[in-house]
Amino acid sequence: MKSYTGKVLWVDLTHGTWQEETLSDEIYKKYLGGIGLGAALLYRDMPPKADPLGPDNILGFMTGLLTGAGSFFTGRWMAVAKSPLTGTWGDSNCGGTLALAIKQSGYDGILFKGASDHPVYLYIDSKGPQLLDASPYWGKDAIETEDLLIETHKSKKKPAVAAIGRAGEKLSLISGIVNDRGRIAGRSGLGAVMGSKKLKAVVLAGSKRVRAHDPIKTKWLSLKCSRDVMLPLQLLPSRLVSMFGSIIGHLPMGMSQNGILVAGIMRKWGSVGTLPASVGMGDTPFKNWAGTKYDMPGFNQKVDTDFILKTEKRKYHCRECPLGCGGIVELEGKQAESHKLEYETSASFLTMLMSTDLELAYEMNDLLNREGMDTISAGGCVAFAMECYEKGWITREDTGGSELNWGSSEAIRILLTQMVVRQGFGALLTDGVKRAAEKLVPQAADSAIHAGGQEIAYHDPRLDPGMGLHASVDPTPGRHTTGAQLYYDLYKLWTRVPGLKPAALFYPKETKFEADEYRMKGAVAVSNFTQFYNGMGMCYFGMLIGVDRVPVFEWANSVTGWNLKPEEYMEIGRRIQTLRQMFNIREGIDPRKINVSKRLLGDPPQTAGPNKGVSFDLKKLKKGYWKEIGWDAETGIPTTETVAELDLTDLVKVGGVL
Amino acid sequence: MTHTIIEACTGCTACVKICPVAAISGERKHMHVINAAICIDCGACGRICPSASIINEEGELCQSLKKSMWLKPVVLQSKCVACGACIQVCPTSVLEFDETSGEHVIPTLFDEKNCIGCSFCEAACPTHAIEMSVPAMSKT
Ligand code: SF4
Ligand code: SF4
Ligand code: SF4
Repeated sequence: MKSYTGKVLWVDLTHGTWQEETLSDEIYKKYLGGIGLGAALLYRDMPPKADPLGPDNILGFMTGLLTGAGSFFTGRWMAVAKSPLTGTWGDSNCGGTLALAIKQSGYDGILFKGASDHPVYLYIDSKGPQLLDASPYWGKDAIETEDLLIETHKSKKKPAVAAIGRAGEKLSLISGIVNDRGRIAGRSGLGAVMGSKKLKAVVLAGSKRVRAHDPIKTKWLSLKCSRDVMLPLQLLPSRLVSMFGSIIGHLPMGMSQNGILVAGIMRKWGSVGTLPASVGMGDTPFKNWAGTKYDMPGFNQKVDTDFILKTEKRKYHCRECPLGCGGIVELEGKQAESHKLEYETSASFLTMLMSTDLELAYEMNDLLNREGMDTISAGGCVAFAMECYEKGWITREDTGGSELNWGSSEAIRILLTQMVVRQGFGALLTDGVKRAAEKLVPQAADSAIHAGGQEIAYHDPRLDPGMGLHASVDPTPGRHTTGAQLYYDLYKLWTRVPGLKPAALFYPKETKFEADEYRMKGAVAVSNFTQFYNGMGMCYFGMLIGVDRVPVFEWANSVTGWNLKPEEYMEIGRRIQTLRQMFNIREGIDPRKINVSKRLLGDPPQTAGPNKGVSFDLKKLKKGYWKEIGWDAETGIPTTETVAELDLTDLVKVGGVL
Repeated sequence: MTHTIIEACTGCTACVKICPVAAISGERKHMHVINAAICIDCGACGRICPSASIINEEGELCQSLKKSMWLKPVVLQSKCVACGACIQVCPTSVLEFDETSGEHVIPTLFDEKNCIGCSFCEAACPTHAIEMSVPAMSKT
């Protein structure tokens, strides 16, 4: 029995046809599923320099190798395509029910090429795929579309649906793909790729079974894991989390953290539970990354994450998750049921904009989830506009009379409401900060905070330079999920992978900024591990709990029957990471030119707050990383030897094979 | 091999109606066939067939069983971690979270009538929180 189907579905939207491709076990052993298989197939089949919004781009809905086989934290699917926002490799991860539904429809991935001339959606049930007319749904938001499509296809099996909202239809470069009533694969602008193909939705109602090679061992590991990740924090108030953050932020030493605390916080509050601590320690940016927590004194009292719990009606678990970091919230008479705020969204709509209007954040979160726009990028865009307004680069005449003052609820609502449908002044911001800045005075470029065009997720590199390094060095720039020094501490890879050094509990702060062997080996290990678990379909939050409690390497073997060592899986991770980099190189991307904005490197240094006076040399860290992973230390291009070592030579040559 | 129909089939169409994935076709009063590419081996056809005409994936003749004797899932609250795997593998979508069951909501069989007793939910549950039993029996 295999946990993967051995097949992917190719859908040609130009011709309205589809065909299955059967893949050998060797291909899975080489690239895993999810992001790895996606990278291999896109590299092989996408013509170089494809227009990301043209028919040559390929959009894949990929499911992980472990998904559906009885392990935990495996309910995540991955959208892959060339990103129209950055022009680089693009991917975006999402939970809910879709991952398993892809596999239940009989495929490890569903990939779309070409473009339709009218709105369509893909429907798969036990009889196979069909492309159907989506005109009745075009112009509707993603939640309405999902509800209507479930109603239309209500048979014995309830379908899972992924759709774009109006942001994706209008080709917003910061739009995403939405499933399960408001969960969103928001990053890399992949909603626009779907929109450009006139693909409104994917509706999956298959019932194919997925089984582990060794179900008994798999379940035994799962049962143990479900016990190992429970830290009951019911009685812990958010105030103490906030204090904990402040203490860490002001310690003279750096302190590494433990994943079990992450599990406890996630289970009680969800990712937003980390907000008070992040604010305290200087992880959360304020005022478009130029401010500090002292610009909003008492923020943690005004925005109390315990309030979010009071509005929570029930927890929400992605499929196959024992933790349940999600939640369905409701504001009596003001806000109907919706998914609760994530940490990123709260930073994006609150601290970044100097706002304490939590109710507005709920409302805007729901709006963006419905219309399918990335809340991280969108908040970054509004922050950028507010800074430009303050500096006089945007005026009231430009905005049509709106005053874009910091913290103005009215301004936030107007801008976001316009942005999702590309209307009014908000249209300027619909394609992200980089493109918006290009339409303003040249100085505005410094206020547009991004890496390679992708707005940066809200964890401050001045606190954790690993955040800045990975956001600059990863083939998908601007992301917080690709790596950080914090993750090295939390993943605890040294408990499974030989040759990695355990993190010290306390360390001198200045060593964070060094490109020494410990830090660089750690950074590359985190990258490789990230690619590995994204190939497996694992959840990043689950992984932050640590591999000693979440046995991903052990599951990998019990589910596939492969019997590989952790270091062998890590090497597959390095292969995927290198292949994604090769994709960028083929696109003509110069890795030296993709960097987080200099403000995030402490140029100029902050004059207050936990990161006061910090500045660091990103170039040095990038070179250290490139050297360690086996890419040219000066250019970031994978060396011929590395490509050969990873058995990628055949794939990366013209007309390459997997 | 998946489930197959043998010549004893009378073409009563009971299996067609119960099959959750529409794998069975045939004309009334004529022998039916199961499409092996579609069948998911849930066994419902074998349980419903009144004329002992269905062979399971292991090549054994299926026993027909009164519907009231079909196994149904019982979710053990103390073991369930609300992962929803059972809900998703259920080919008839008759399991759903009970929104009144607490903070981390747990599944319940809300449409017992349409449960086909396939035990897929039990097999999928990572924490052994599902037990299959005959409702009529467990009540006595
Ligand atoms: S075993 Fe289940 S899926 Fe297969 S034909 Fe019979 S009822 Fe249909
Ligand atoms: S036994 Fe379980 S999976 Fe099968 S139909 Fe009944 S509830 Fe659904
Ligand atoms: S699969 Fe098991 S643990 Fe998961 S929701 Fe169902 S009964 Fe609960």
